[in-house]
Amino acid sequence: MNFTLHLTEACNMNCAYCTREKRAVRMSEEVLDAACDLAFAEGSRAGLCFFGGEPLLERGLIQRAVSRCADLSRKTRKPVQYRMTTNGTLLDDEFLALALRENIEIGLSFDGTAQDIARHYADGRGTMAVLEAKAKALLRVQPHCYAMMTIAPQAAGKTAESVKYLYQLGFRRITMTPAYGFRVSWDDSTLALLMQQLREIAAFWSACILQGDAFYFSPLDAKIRECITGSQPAERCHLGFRQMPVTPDGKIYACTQFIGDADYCLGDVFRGLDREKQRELARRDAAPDSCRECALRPRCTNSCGCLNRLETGDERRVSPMQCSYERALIELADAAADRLYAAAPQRFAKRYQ
Amino acid sequence: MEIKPQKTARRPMYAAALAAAASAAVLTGCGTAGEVAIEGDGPTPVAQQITVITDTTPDTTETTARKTELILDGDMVVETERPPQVMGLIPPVTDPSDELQLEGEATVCPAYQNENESARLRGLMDADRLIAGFEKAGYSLAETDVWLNLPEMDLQAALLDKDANVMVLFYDGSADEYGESCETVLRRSLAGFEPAIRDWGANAKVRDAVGEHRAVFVDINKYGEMTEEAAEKIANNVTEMIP
Repeated sequence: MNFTLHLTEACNMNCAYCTREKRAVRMSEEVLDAACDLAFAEGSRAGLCFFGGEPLLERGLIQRAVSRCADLSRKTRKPVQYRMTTNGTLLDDEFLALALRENIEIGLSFDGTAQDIARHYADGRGTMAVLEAKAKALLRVQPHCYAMMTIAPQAAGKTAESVKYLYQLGFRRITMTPAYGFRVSWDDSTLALLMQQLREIAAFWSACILQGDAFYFSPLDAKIRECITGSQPAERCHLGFRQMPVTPDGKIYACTQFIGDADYCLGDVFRGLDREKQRELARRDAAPDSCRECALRPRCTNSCGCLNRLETGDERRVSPMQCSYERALIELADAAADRLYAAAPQRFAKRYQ
Repeated sequence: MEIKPQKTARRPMYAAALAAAASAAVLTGCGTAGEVAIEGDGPTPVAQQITVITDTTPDTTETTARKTELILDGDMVVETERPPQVMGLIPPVTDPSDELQLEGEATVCPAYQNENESARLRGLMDADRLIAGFEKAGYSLAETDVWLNLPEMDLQAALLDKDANVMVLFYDGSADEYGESCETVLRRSLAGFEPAIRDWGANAKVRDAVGEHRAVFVDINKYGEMTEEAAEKIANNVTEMIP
């Protein structure tokens, strides 16, 4: 079973778009141990994603989890996988050695040259100067790690520059999503600016692929792949199934966006999962009414309950920003893919087959 | 910015071209090495809707051990490119769901990077129709009946001491999370449990300390969409074995 462990609600940063409340609340050792045990109790493997707040504020808990899971893995003969999303500011050689030894795959929240626009320390200082060195150290240990960009409207104009910067730094797997939620405000002009930047990124991405580079950029690659395979991002929402968050008090929720909502609490680490509630979630009709007749529905994230909730407060309601972005992105990704296919059909086929 | 449902969607050139290439590969006989042979009952109209053709010859040069990909919270990650290989660090990961799928084939969700997780989700969504099919066949799937979790192929461990008469597991027979197809794993696991291999999956009697159970394994690839007829057929096959 996969869990996202919210080891702490504290964070040493205060990003302009972050919607999470920061509090000095940490997971107890008792909750952590029970979460590890439960992860091994069902399924053929266990997975833990260390998350927060900032998880590296609680590296002692990470070490404890890894140690306990090693025992559990030996006893149950089930493999275990670790990941961690971090702002990176607290990465050091000691932790990178642990990550290397225990195979903790790290995703670095890093907005590239746009970093200082929205990602600040709690006291307001920028983090770019610190993070570049941390990113280089991480890439030395995990060359395949993800850089995870979140683009706020005020940083839209730096998106392309940021992607190229991250690429030149050594990242070959870059995810990017617009910042959503009540702390940001997109409008027509900032969205148009973002799409213009994405067109520039698409040209850069194509050039990289044509020269044989394995460069993965999530907004383009995901849309193209989904079109080829016929898979639906609508199915992507793993609400209550694939990976569930565990809060510091041990409660298990359907998704991080639903933490604190009793309707989406699926149990706790001591008593286990409420299977009936899980089934109820699985049966839910996730498609928003506004999207039912849309021809792009199979390729859009409209039924991601977590995103909808973040944007509109309603699991089954999309926002104008989400709809506009998805429509524009699909058109842009298809155009880029068509050009790439025309230029190098075999290389394209190899990449996506 | 506005919410603007689209009346039509263009099929991009690249998608059409790759689909055509895949069809040509099948017509020439490529890609059929892993065809799943179904024993038991003859084909039904439901079974005929989908031809299960897979090409899942394991690539022994690469590990397939980490298909239940944990995702990084804070983003939805869809892996497309293999990560660069770094000696001594992270083994490359292959994902069979990344392969191009034939049109008409039952779709699994690549984003899950775990076909059985997707299969289970799809199965649970169809559970109501399966329950209705059982009721039509004269048997109620009572609350004590268990819907099994994921591909818990160690049946005795999975079913041990469960207080239930019928247990249901939805799976994807063509998934190869274990380095071999789930169909193969399932058949091996069922050996010794008097299994009946069906054109929708399999059912078996399983005994443990509590008593005798009927375990039902429904392959989502074999019924496509759970129709009323498919549900009733499954129910009839299984209830034959219910005392």
